Amino acid sequence: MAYVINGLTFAMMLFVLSAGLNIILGFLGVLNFAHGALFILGAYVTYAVTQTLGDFWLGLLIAPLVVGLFGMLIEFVFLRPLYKRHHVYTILLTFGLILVIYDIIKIIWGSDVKTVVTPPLLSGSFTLFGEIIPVASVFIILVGVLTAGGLWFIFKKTTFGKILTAISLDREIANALGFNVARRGTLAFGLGALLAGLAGVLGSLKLSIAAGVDAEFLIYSFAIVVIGGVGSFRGTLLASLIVGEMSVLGGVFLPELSMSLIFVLLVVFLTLYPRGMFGREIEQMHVPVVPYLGNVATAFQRLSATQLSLLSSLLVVALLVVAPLALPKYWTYLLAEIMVFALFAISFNVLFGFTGMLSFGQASIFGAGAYTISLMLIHVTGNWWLAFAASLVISTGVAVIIGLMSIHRSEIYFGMLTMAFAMLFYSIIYKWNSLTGGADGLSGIPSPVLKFGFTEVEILTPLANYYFILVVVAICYFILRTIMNSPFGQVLLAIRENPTRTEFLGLPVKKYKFIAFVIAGVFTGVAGALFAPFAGTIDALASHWSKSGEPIFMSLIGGISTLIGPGVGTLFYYVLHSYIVSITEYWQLVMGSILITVVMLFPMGITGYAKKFILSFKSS
Amino acid sequence: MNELEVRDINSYYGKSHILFGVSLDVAQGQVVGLIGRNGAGKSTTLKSIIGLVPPRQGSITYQGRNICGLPSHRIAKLGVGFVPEDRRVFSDLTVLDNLEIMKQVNPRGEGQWSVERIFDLFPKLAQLKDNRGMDLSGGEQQMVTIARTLMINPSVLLLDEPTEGLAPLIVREIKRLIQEVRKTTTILLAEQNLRFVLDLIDYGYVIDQGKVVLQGTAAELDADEHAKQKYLGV
Amino acid sequence: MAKKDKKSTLMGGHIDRRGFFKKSGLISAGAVGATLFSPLGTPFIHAKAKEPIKVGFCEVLSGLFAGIGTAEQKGAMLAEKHINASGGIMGRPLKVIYEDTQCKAQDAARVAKRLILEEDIVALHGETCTSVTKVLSQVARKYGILHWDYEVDGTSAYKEMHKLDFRLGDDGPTQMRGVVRLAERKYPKFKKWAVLVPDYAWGHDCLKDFQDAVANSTLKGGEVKPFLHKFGEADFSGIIQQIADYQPDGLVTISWAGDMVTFLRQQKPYKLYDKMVGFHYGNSVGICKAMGDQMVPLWSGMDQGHPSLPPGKKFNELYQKAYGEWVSEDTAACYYDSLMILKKAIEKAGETKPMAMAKAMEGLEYSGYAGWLKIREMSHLPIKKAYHMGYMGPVPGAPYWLATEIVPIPYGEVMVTDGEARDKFGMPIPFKS
Repeated sequence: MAYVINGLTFAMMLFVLSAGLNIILGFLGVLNFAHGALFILGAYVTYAVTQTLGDFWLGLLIAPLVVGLFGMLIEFVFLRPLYKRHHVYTILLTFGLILVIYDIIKIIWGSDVKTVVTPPLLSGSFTLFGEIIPVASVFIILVGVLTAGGLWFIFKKTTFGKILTAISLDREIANALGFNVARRGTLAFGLGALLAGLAGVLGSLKLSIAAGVDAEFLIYSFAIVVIGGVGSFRGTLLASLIVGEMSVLGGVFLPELSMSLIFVLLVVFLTLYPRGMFGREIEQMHVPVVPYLGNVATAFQRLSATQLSLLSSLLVVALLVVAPLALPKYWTYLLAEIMVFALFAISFNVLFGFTGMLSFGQASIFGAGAYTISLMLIHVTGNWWLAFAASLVISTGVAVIIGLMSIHRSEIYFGMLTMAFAMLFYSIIYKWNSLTGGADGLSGIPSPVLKFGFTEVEILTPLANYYFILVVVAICYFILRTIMNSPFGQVLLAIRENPTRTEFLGLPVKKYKFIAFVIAGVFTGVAGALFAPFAGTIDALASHWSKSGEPIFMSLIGGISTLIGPGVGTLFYYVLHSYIVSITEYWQLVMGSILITVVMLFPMGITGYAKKFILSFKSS
Repeated sequence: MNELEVRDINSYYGKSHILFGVSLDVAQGQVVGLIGRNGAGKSTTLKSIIGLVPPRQGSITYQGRNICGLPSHRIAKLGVGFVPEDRRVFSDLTVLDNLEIMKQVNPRGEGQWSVERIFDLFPKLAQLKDNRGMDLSGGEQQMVTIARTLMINPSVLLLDEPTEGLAPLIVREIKRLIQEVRKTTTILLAEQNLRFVLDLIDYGYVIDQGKVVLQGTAAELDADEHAKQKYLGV
Repeated sequence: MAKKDKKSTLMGGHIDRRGFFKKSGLISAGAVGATLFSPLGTPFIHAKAKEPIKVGFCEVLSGLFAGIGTAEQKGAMLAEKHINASGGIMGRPLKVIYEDTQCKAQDAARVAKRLILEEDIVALHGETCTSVTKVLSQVARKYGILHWDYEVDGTSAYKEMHKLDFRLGDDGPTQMRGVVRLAERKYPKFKKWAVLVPDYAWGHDCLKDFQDAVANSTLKGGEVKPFLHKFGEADFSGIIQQIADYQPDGLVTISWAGDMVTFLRQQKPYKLYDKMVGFHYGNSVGICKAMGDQMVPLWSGMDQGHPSLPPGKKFNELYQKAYGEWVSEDTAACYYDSLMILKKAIEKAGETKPMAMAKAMEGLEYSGYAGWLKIREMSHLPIKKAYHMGYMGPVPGAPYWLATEIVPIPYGEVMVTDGEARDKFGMPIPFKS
């Protein structure tokens, strides 16, 4: 019985948070990954108010308002300019915002764990049916219920709410009818942020306050919005109850599986019932992945097949071959790691830049490759070829499974589904301690020993590792290049531009997408298989869903319209990251700001701008 | 002065060039037809005027004022009422809500269209006022869509294929509506249904593959058998 | 590869690295121009006639555990400052380069390699997170660099240790034995134990260590019931209810500050600690500081650097002078001593070659702000004088709760041993390294 009440408390906290995310996703179509950061910000502001003014109740009033206003500011300055673009930009922007918000918190409040002093009114408890019920829990439930009531009132009874609903149903027409959709969007985001802040106030009563505590809440609220359905608060409420209870009861009775169960539910819903229980489809416009480039765009494609492009690819390889002779030892090591992740990013971009599929699940495939080869090399065989083959089989298998289930969804749903798989996969790796080492992972992964008949080549030194990786990555790159320049690649580009039209032309779009997904998966797996022996250690975080964000960002920086772009982006990112981490402790602020800047101002990426430059040269 | 002057607009959807130098005039008080087959560019023209598909070249003047490039909601507030094809009612809201929220766009309630007036004109809608948009039939939805736009009391009404996919009975209702509305509002009517249109319009433009290929009064257009065959498949 | 002349900048950046960037034209400095610098009070090292001795210090400086890592870093920085103020090591300045591992094994591997390959460090220190310590240990072994740490490890981590590897801190079995020894003295009648641990390797290890400790004590025959909670648990209510239902005599906890604070706050209405006695180890200062007056009286294992104990108290005064606030973790003093111990080892060895330093470290004794310790020759683990358990309560003049009662337990009763062999001090020798 007490479990039920406690589950209810947790559920109500989640409801307030998820309702905010629901509003943002429903009215603006934005997958706000910074929602958790807003939540913990609300907790910190509550802490600040209770510390300085000694009054929690003032905090209850002020924190949501502060976070709401902050949200409006974010929306107005950073998100609004990105709506007309592909949704990858808003998603990446919110990733960048998380980093920035975390460091703002660190600058203002430091890194120590904080708590809020529970106000006397909420400190007590009473017994009900022989169970202890804390007053604070009742308070949270009350606030949750009031929030639900308030939202119902706003959206069903007030004109403001009805207009927001109308806008969420049909943005374009609302605009054409005279509603300033943009301004109302800002208000909607503010409302969503306010709810996140309010959830933070509630959280401060029960939790310790530290940046990072919010990560789990973000995932839960995401699952709740999907399961309950976008646009339906009834759905959010019901889903919050389900997830809340599952979490509490699962924690008590089935701790091994509790987290994974929620992800399984998430995957089931996204695959079979994308509208959730009561919701509707998220309104999406099909926006071209590659920003409009006029008739320059078709010239790009022609350019990639020309000798100029092949020559430049060979030039890059040649540079990489001689690089170690000119570079200090550490950079040889780093460049090898960069090449591995360049392969990761390039294979990701086959999906995104070439086929228009934004997948957040690549980290799982990478992890599958990495773990398989590690386990093979540690427990089964010293034969690298065998281990590598096994790793390819497993990682391709994972890609096939994820691909089969995700291909049927498009645009933002595809992204969410791949992410759900990534979360599920991560939770399995994390929990399956005996196999994967859980959070600690596997260490002491032996370096590759290549057996060629009777001779053996041991890849031990940084230099040997470097050339080994260079050879494998170069081979993979040229294979991908051949594939992308073939008619198959042309079909993928057509699918990216206009899937419906491609379907009309008689091409089985889903089949092509699936094949592309598997191809990308193969090379992602190769990257994972290269990485683990090179690093000597692998842990669960390598397959965390947030790791999937890195190839996206690197592709963007380098340029998604070229095959090698993501590789350039990886190089740039690593060098930048290395440099920044060594000169400031607030590297999250700097990296986050750079991410935001690149997303907003340089969407074409380095190679994109380079090609544009070269083409303008050619035409003049 | 012409209520609406469209001059040489070129509009695109992404890379697709849809309108090639379209020009037309709509004088105050007229009902002007924009006639053409499916995909000819009728909707795009209307959407260009309301700013949903802003033209890359050309100009659009409304009541002497250049509206090309303005955000759609501003154009609407100035008095351009857009009624989309596809009957895009706000499906989760009731009929009454669909109409009532429009008061926000025209808060002073100037003009002669109000919820009461609309319900007078459409007793059927009055009956359905608490039904949700998604529960209505196609014809009922179309009526709501038109009524909704009327609520902002526009000076010029852009009607995009109001009769598409509707039964003859409903089509008659809509005709009746247009005849009522034209008494106080200028109308630009985009249609495929030639017979429907010729009855209503004062002047017409025939559009084919993004270009205006023919224009004239209703009588002139009706007399041109060759054009009717070529451009409208009649 | 010719060694380049390297000048140090404020935060360990390198001018020749910047030169490389300019050469490759990769970074547009403008993009990074407006970055936030963080002085952190690092003293600017003037390039003296002698080359500085470079040491790499890996810590978790961002993420959930940043509070701990930052406190430890501050302790180390104080030591660095003092060492240089008194003439450095063998007349050479000490340059400590701090790197953020984010508590992630792969990032740790990368920064460790950078420190070794690029910065030419002579020794590597780190870290709070066990998985990272393992990796640092491996990287150090691979490149033949001295690695030492004040880290608290699970016994599974000892397998990774090698001849250039040293640990100065107490470990899981020591702490759990400390709890049991305390109970033998003060609560000999306790029969039922609830052990609340996070559900991952470290938690499982400590659970097992406690079970073993009970089985090998006068309390054997007592019941030990485990309660596993999810790391980062938001809702402890289910577990709290279960513990309350179980009605143990003692409740043992080891979770980090974030989870402990959540747990302590949520158990308040259930008044667990009125009905049972609490025994905790880990982040005790952080917990007391966060909880403030809402803290709950319980026993906590303390490093000697804890401000409740005399050496730690002295360190706290130093710390306050330097940073204007009380220490935020008891391990800050430990990390101060860590650097001092390295200094002593280098001076004893007379040089900075890894094997020489390692030999010097074996058997080294040091008395500092974290108390007295001696490094054992064979296992490279520490011997201390005593293990301290303190009962936390409010102390006038202190911004957070301190130990109002202290029970010192002779180290021989808690340290890790194989029980049979003894070294020349008569101290038991643990498993071979």
